[in-house]
Amino acid sequence: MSEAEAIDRAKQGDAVCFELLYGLHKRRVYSLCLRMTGNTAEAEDLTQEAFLQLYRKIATFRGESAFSTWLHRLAVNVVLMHLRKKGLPEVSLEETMEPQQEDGPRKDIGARDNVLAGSIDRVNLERAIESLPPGYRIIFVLHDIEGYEHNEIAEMMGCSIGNSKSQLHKARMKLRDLLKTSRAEKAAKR
Amino acid sequence: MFQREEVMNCAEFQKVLPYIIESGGNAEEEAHLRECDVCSDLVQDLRYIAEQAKLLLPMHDPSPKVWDGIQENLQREGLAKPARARGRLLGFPSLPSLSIFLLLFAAAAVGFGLLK
Repeated sequence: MSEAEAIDRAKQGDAVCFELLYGLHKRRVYSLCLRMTGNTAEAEDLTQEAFLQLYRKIATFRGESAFSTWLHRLAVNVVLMHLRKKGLPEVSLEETMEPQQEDGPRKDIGARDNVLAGSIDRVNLERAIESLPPGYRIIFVLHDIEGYEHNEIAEMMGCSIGNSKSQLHKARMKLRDLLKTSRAEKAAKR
Repeated sequence: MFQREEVMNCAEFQKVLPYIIESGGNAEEEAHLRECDVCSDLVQDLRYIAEQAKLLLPMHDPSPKVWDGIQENLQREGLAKPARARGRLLGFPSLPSLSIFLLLFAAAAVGFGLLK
């Protein structure tokens, strides 16, 4: 059975087809929730909530975008709603493109270090993303991993496009620091 | 008389770095990038991080309790009927039990065929 057939049948309340859709998309939805929250238990709760909403809303899916795109947008909204309820900082609306002192680029000319290229693996990168502050992490996951554009992120998060760009830049700068520190620590142990 | 353009310094370059990463720099910024190893390394690293992030795949499945929770919630809300067996929604035999049934049916059919 194709995914399109499964979607059509799930719209009519076919439980087996809904389970099939769950099987096809659970990993990506869960990974999205896990990367956005950095917490396994929360990610599982949010995955559950996303699929419950899918069950309730699947009849409204018109096929204007790919089903996976539609479902992931639904999941992102579930996570963002949860974070708002928790009162976690997402993105400060007062942020501007001006780099802040603590997060801005280093101006220490002459302190050249080896570039990261070729020295980071998936595990290190995942770990570094996990340790980003929530606001940076969410924007980074949405833009660099999930492939959302800044205008889409701004709309979802209720911030400006400039703010989204600024937060992404700071997130990448912070990741660079974290990855370099991790690399230096590993080298020191050898 | 020809006047030499002011050369961009690192602070000025890094102030506009988010735009440079996204859409490339102008001639002055490109010139700074060619001459400054520190800024050049920085740009290279930030692009590398973005590229590596795009390659990250979903790696983990949620635990089975997530699906159990979905079913319980749907049943509680009356959207799905109670399951006959653990992990299944009502009205649909599980694949293993269906396979066993078909296997037994096929065996019986063969058996009858041989007896005749």
